[in-house]
Amino acid sequence: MYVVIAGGGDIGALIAQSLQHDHDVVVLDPDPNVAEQMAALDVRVLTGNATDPELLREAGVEKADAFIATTNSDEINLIASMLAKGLGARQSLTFLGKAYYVEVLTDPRTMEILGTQIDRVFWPQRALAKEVLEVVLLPKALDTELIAGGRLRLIEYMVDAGSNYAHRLLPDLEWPRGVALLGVLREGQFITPRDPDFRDLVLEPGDHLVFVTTRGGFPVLHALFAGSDRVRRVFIVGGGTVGYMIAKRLRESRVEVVLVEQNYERCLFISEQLPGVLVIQGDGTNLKLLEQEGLELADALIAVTDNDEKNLLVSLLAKQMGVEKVVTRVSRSETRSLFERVGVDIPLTPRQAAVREVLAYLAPEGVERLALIEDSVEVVEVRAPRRLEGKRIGDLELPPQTIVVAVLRNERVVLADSDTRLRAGDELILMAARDEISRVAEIFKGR
Amino acid sequence: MGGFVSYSLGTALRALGFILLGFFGLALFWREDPLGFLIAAAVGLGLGQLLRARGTPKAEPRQAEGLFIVAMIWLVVPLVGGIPYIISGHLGFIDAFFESMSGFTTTGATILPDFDLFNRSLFLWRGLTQWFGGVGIIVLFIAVLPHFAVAGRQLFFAESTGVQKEKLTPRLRHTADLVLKVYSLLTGLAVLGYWLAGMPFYDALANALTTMPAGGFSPNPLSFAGYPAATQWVSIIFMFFAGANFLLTAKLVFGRSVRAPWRDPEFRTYAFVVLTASLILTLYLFQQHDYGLEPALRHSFFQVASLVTSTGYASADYTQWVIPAQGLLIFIMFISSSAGGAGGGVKIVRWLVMTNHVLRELKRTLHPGAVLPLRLGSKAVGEDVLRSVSAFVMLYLFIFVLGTMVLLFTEKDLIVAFTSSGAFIGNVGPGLGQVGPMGSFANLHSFAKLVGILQMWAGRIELIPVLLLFHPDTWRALRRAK
Repeated sequence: MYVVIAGGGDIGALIAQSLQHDHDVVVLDPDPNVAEQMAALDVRVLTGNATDPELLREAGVEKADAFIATTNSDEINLIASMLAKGLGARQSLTFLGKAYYVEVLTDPRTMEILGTQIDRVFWPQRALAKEVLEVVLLPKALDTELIAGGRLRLIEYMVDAGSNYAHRLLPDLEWPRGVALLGVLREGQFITPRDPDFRDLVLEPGDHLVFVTTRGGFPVLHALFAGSDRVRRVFIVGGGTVGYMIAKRLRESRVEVVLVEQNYERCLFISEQLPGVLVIQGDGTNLKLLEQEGLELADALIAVTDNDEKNLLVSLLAKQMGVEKVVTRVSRSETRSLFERVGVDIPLTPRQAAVREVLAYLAPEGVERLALIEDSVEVVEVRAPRRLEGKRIGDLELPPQTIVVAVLRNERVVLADSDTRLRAGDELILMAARDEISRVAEIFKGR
Repeated sequence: MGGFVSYSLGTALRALGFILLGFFGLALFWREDPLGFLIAAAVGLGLGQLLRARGTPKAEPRQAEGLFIVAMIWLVVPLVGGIPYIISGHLGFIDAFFESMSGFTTTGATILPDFDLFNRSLFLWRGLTQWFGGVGIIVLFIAVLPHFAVAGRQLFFAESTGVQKEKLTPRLRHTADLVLKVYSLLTGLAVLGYWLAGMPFYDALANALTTMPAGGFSPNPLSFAGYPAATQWVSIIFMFFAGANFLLTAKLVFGRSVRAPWRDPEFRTYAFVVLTASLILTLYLFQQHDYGLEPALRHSFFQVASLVTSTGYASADYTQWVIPAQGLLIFIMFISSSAGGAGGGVKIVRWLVMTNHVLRELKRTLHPGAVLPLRLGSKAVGEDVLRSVSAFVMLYLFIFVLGTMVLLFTEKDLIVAFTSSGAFIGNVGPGLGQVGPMGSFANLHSFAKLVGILQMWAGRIELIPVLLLFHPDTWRALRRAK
């Protein structure tokens, strides 16, 4: 595919990085330094404004399969993606920050007037809010995602120091029916069952376990890690778009919400819109205020101000006061590993969430990207073609890191083992290293 | 006095004159003494014409002028409307003024020691004054006189009782129209209901005219105790609607939206108060008195509806009930009914705002940094609402206590002083003791009656217009408006 990306900032760079191996990528950015920063990537960088038709022509937009607008300005993104579409790009995708624009653009009436000038809108804030909610509503879980139309769930738990699983040999452990272990995350490395180390891996406190479960298996698994805990009281620091969306949804799930925001006008707006949310005007890093509002009794803290440093400080404070789960917003993805290093459990970036959506949207034909585990491993869905009919899963010549996780047949979901025989039309959920995806697509090509 | 002030006053008086002229005809037709109506009509028409001639119809009244007009209309109209009582009904000036003010303000406190003094046309007139007073003189004006609509805007809001200045339709005239329509429809239904339930037609009409405005004058000296039980049940229903917001009732009737009232926090509270108070009272009556179940229920609902809506009818002499039962009735008299209805008093919506404010302050002590908007139901309302509401409640209580004090000096009876002061300012009517539902205010000191007139007047037009008359800035503004 030929992809043109407007904006070489965080999002643009992340997308360029993920696409560089299998696709032709051109990045446009007015900042000359960007070219230098991207020198290590296998992409072409043009310096100039993305709303300049000349530059767009030079970038080869007319033959592009996709144009992705990722600058920090909503207006530039909108204009650039419309221009690109006008010049002949097959699809134009754009990132937006303002809720109002998103509402207007996704309104069917707008579509009717504009036609499909913009094929897809990505809204990082909403993607982030969604992700935060999924994590917060399940105590102990670090990350979770529903896939295959909600029939399967990916979920990540941490091994606590006092847990039954600490210091146990991994292959000795048995998991409930309907649960499969996909791998272990240790110090940023994802160890899958295909790894040679996997056989004699002894679990340490701090390891993250990644599972896939069926609907029936999930409650059993969750009970093993979280007991019967429920999230009752959540602190949110920062009342921006993300904080607001999270507070709203948490209230709908009957969770007690305390929201701390510095700007008085914003406080007033939120408290008027969301009855039931206790809105406190003040600085989230004010220890006395947090103590007074009873932060130590909260089940979770979500730090989503615009300021990374502040989020970090609040999160560390909360950790120290004994809050079980701390979710933190990080704007720059480089900072993310730093956050993890100093002890923040769940750093999330709005960009990452949206980048995943983009990658899923642009996946090679026949492969649907479902989820991303630690930037390197992906969960994808493919359809078994006729020529693989009757073949054992164990006999498929899959790339080394690729594992078949589950088979969806006639609306039923089975966790796969190597003896399962394929039928044409089966949908397979696979886990694969990122650079293996094109190989996987090759294997399952055709009908 | 500004040109528009005298024009509006003149218009009001002339309209009153025409209606009195009609009653002159009615009295002639019934072969009763028509002299009082004739003189009153002459005064109204003459004075009205004079003031109109001096005034100018086109004007954009200022705030001060608007409020002044409302206060004056509600003072002068009862004065002229009381003339028939003096001439045909043989009352003294103060007594007649008291009776007339009690009528127009829908209070229903009567001065009549002996109901034989009045003939049928006088009773009907007395009822009609309440009917006009209940919907509001200004609302009537705006609905009937098109050119009044623009200038009447401020007057309308000064007279009406809503906390939020709500309008159902974009044009004030249509809103006024709608209120008048609902009001007339309900009155018509009440006449029919009473008549079918066994009242003679004249009584049905006279009582319906005082039920819908939550007035309480009845041509029967025993009030509703003198009518069959079925009419009391009918009355409960119509009193309840008199105390509800007419605009909500309009939505219910014309908009066919059954849920609209239930979404309104004030209506919900109102219904809850009526129901709970009635059931508690039922329990008391059933246990402490020799009532059967049906009479206990009936008297409870009747008396609660009557006092909560500030109507003031009686289905039984409740001054004979046990003290807690009487206390409950006085208590709900202070709770009062919905804004935008015909009832008087503080209005439930104001209590809701105040309660919410108090709860909010409690919460604020626990969470000093919390941002807590003032809520009415789930909707947030502005701080200006709180300002005006708390000022109103303070004023209300102040005038109530002051009235009680004065009445204590003149009457030397705590129960009479306390309950009449509350009944005056809340436009309820009867109190307890000798001013109870079967008694009358005739034996009060003349000075006490003047206090009563003042309190009824102030209470009906929501205190502010009357109190502004005592503020020097108002007079300064009026002088400038010349």
